Amino acid sequence: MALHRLGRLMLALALTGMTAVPLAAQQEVPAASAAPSSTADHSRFKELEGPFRTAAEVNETCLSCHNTGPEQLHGTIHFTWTAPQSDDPEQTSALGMLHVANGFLLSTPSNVDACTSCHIAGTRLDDPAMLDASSDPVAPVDCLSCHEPTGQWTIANFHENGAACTMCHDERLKGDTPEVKDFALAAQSVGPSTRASCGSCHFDADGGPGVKHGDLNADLIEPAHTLDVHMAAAPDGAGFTCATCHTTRDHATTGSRYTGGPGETPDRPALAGAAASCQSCHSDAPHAAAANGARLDRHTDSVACETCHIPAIARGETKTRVLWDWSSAGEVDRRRQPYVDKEKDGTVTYASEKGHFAWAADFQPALVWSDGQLVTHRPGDVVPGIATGDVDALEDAAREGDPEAIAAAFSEAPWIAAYGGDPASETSRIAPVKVMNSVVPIDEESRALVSAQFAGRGRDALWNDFRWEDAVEAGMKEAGAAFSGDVAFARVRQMIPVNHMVAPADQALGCTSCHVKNGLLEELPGGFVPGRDRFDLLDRAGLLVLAGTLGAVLLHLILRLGFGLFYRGNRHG
Amino acid sequence: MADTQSNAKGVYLFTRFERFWHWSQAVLILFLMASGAEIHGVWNWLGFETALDLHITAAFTLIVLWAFAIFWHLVAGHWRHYVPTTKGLWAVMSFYATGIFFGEPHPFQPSPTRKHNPMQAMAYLGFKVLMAPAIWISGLALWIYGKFPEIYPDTLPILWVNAAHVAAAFLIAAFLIAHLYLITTGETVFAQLRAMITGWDRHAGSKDD
Repeated sequence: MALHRLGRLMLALALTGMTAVPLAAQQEVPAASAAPSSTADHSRFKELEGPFRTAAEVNETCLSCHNTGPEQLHGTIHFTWTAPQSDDPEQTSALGMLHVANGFLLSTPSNVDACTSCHIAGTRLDDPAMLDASSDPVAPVDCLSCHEPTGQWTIANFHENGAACTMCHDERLKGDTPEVKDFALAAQSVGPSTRASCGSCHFDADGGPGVKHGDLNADLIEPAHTLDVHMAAAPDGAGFTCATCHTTRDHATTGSRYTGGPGETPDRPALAGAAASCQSCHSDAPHAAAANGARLDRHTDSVACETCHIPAIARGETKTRVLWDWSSAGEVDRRRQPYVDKEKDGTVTYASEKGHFAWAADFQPALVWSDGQLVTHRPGDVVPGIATGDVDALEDAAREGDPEAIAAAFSEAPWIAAYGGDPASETSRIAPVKVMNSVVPIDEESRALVSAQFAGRGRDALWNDFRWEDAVEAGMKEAGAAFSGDVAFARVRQMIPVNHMVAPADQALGCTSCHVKNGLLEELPGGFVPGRDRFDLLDRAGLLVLAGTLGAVLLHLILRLGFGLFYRGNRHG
Repeated sequence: MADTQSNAKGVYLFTRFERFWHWSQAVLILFLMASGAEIHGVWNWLGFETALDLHITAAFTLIVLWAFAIFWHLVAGHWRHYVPTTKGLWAVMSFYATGIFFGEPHPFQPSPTRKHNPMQAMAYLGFKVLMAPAIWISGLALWIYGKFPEIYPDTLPILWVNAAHVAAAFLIAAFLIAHLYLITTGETVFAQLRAMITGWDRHAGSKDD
């Protein structure tokens, strides 16, 4: 069925290619997309033959049959950008992208217009209230944002809607932007979501390819088995799409950084499918096939699956950002123009709009005790432990991405977002995270996190005039938080979950990754790790006893040999 | 005693089972120390998991051996050799402290009815009733923690169980050092070693002293 559809699409593309500029990426349908069979072949519906003049017309046609789609989506995180509150009583405000601050593009207040390039509305909105289904007007829902299988619909939408380039690109790119020329062809291509369609937003989260997530980037569109055993095409891989694990019911998608935890085994019937956790398919005792399976299974009550099975972050081609220094934003070149610095391979390391970046690939995640409950902060919150005075500019070594220099520079930095968890808790596991290191603007007086307006037509926008005070003034006004008028900078860290790019079993961590002195868990107390855990005092006392015994014996021996020269006699008379 | 033999080779002090028990125990304990040190993170030898697997196998082998040995001690009456006594203890202690240097005769002569001098008997008793049980009870607890977590009592901190295991291991290692040295203090340097290999002690007395 999938092949049949693909063949049809290729034929259609070949025909349109002669007459019009085809939608470039519609030629790149992922061959491995495991689309379930359906009794509806959208390419044969008369209604979808068009002609359509706008993307909105396509959507109206979808909704003429799928008329409960918007209602279903109105309550989901993809629409509201608001996550259900956690069980943590200290977490009193709403979670979700609309509310929390981070160390990348900071926060959404005053930037909703630019950020909603990636909203399932398929169009930009400047009023965050429109993401609340009870408001009037309410944001639309664009079916093809998720259901156009190449993801290029969404990418074309960003560009055609006039999204702020710098939101997703470190460098203002020149040249053609992707465009949807044939709405009918796109409409007829719809199907289940694909890795590419989900990835059109998620692979470029928070500012460009691979920026936020080392384990979610475009390498997963056609991944090799060694990169991701689940998403690689059969027969080596399982050919999963995102939705194979992130199952949906009534358009509500399972799995989010805000819900669930590494120890959670979903209490749902197996027939309901996976629920975005390893255990939902693999159970919490998955190693039966291994010779040492019982021993490996013994780890699952304290170690998350990802800890061993995702031994490194960003194992493919795409790097991920590990440092973002906003404090150096705003430098201009001799012609007083914004500029970028690049490495040989094109990686941008400085952009006037965004400051300095450092990138990393194929690096070990940090291991933490996690119960899956994120402790987050919002614009206007003072992060406990934030620097109370001026902080020196980062050293060049840190800005250039030297891991040790970064770790040293941020060792005292508080967490703008961190997972809770402790070894004694039954719901906590040792889990891998990517640590993001950021130098972010704060209110010089209150030391609170701030929101800053990046893009827009006004003089306030940071990327127009590079005046932090004005940008933050605008941002905090929108956030409804107080601002003293002066901006300082502070170092913060953030934990980004690592759940994807599961490696083949033979690349998983071995015993002695942790069961040694100075292993991966050396800095992470808790649990019982033979090979690491010891009472140093006991070891010293033990060695002292051994040394004392040996010393006494040697002394006795020397005396015996010495006196033996003078006293030779038979014992026992 | 009926099985007492005495001739030119000396006195038959250590029976075949006793020697088998002693030497297999010696090999197992040395292996357990080496593999245990690897599990403890002291050195790399077999690889962590192999060391752990073989450590467990060797430990259970030793427990089986001990079960036989305990049965033998009880049934054959050899437990009597380890009954602590202060009789002659002072003499032995002062011999090792001074007399040995001046060629004085050993104040104790082993015999089939009392194979060990009072100090030796106490040390062996200490090994058998303190060190050995400490290491295998803590070791079994560690094994249960790993293998059958559902029956492991949560109130027992595993780090302390592990500490007890390590402490006992250090004591046994110290015992081993002293033991290896003291067997050279027989009539000649290798006299006691030979006795434990062949069973015949050339210098023992056929009767109780």
